[in-house]
Amino acid sequence: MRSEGCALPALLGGLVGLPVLVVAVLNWPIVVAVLLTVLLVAGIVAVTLGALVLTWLYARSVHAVLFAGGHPEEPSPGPGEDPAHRSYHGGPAWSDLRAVIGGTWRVSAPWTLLLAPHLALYAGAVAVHQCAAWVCVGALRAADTALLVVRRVRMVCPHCFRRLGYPAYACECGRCHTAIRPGRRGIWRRVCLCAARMPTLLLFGTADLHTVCPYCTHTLEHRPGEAPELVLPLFGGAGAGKTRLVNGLYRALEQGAEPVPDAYADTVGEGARQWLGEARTVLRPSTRTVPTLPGHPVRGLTVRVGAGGSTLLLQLYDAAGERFTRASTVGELGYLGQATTFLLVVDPLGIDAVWRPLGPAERGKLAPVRSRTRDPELAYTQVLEEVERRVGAAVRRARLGVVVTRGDLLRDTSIAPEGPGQDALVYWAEHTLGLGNLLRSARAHFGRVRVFHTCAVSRPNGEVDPSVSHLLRWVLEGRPPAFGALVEAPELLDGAV
Amino acid sequence: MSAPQHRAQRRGLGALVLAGSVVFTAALLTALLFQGWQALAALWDWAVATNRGALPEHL
Ligand SMILES: Nc1nc2c(ncn2[C@@H]2O[C@H](COP(=O)(O)OP(=O)(O)OP(=O)(O)O)[C@@H](O)[C@H]2O)c(=O)[nH]1
Ligand SMILES: [Mg+2]
Ligand SMILES: [Zn+2]
Ligand SMILES: [Zn+2]
Repeated sequence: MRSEGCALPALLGGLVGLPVLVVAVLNWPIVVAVLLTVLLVAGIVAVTLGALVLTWLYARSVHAVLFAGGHPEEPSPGPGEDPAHRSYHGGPAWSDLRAVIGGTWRVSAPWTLLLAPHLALYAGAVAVHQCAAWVCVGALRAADTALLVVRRVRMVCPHCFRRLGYPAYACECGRCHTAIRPGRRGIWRRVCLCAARMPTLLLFGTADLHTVCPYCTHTLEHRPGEAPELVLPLFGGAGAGKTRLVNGLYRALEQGAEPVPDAYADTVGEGARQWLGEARTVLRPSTRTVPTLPGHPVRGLTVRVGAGGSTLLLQLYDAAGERFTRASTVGELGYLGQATTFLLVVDPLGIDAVWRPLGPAERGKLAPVRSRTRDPELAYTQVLEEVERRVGAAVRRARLGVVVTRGDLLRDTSIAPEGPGQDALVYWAEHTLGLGNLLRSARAHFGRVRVFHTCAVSRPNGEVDPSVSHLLRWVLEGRPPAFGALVEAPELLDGAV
Repeated sequence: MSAPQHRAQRRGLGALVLAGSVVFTAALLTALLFQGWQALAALWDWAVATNRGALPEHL
């Protein structure tokens, strides 16, 4: 004990302090408890206040972004992106989260780290929302794709001949949507930058929109995606009879659909209307078709055929014969890589082996309708090479119809076939027309080969010759039977060609 | 360019997030108070017991 102090206050202090000190020392655990209690309570109050303030700041930021419209501006679509607004799951959800974190950080800086659980909760909610949205996107796209596969829909652009993964669509404002399917810009619907709503899938009715080719941006008037397409290229030398045959095929369909309720065969688009609209006139025996211009761009002529509740989009390709003589011009015909049925059109009169044995009288009569093409094999070889170049071994799955035209002119001549049966026609093609090599090569390369002898001239009563319907029935093989029924030709069974 | 506001989705998400935050803070503070109370109780139990043992026998 120290008692060296002599000043009065110190003495007084010592007198009062001493007993307190003694009591304190004797009851030290109580003293420790009091001190700790004060510390603890102060700490709890501080933490509570801190937590409340931080939560308040965070809530204010959330409110500002999500309720008060303080969310970040949506970035406008970059080049190559579709002109549609983003869906909430396609970006804004994450940028909102970033904005909330940024807003909180600005007012509470490093203390924001203490809000980690809140932010984790927010991020978790966004993640769940994202998962749900993208699962929907995937499921819808899968369902739509499955439907296309089940309906055997393959879409080919009749202008640039490319196969479309999916059509593109133009909004009324003129903006073109090339990737309309569900994604970051919409699940069921999307909103064009002009605020127009558009469906996102064929399933939801995109076919009602203005459809365009995503590659060449040509308008596609045939509502691609709704029905299977049948790409049918005709090829052969100049003057072989392709244009007349195309008209015959269309007329045969139109005529077959006339008596059947609910059946129809309509041309689609301006090109097809121009080329096929006059089919009835073109097929008259007195009409001479105009040679197709080799410089004219080739376009698929689309015919929409409906029967028995099914629809088929027939794409007929009729290029000028001159195009099939050189590899460079054949190479431009991209549709050759999209077809599985081909028609080689042959003018029998052009072939020297046919022409030579004819008598002068027959020659005189037939000379005006004889084409300049002497060797059908030239076009055949070029096209076969091109098809092989484009599809490789898949050419084995394709069919080739060798169509010998001018049946009406050959009837009753010395070079007419013996009968309408396939065996007789093949024998005739090999021995009279000299197409043995061609047919052998065709059988070696194509999956199926068949010879036809057509007469693309209407009968006196205006009807299409049954030989054209017969060819058409073969073309439509493997399609719903209602289509084949349209071109049933009972006369043929009697043996008439 | 009038971008869609995604009002419903923003409000729904906001309500969810705010409710979650409030619940979380409430739970945190409740736990804190409870733990603090427990700690105080233990502290005083210890202090009283220790105090009794620390006093000299004859007092
Ligand atoms: N009588 C008759 N004439 C036919 C037949 N097929 C074609 N022709 C005639 O043969 C000529 C040429 O026919 P097109 O159909 O223009 O021949 P193409 O193959 O289109 O010819 P390019 O366009 O020049 O390649 C025309 O005068 C046709 O009238 C047929 O089956 N019977
Ligand atoms: Mg032609
Ligand atoms: Zn195209
Ligand atoms: Zn628009």
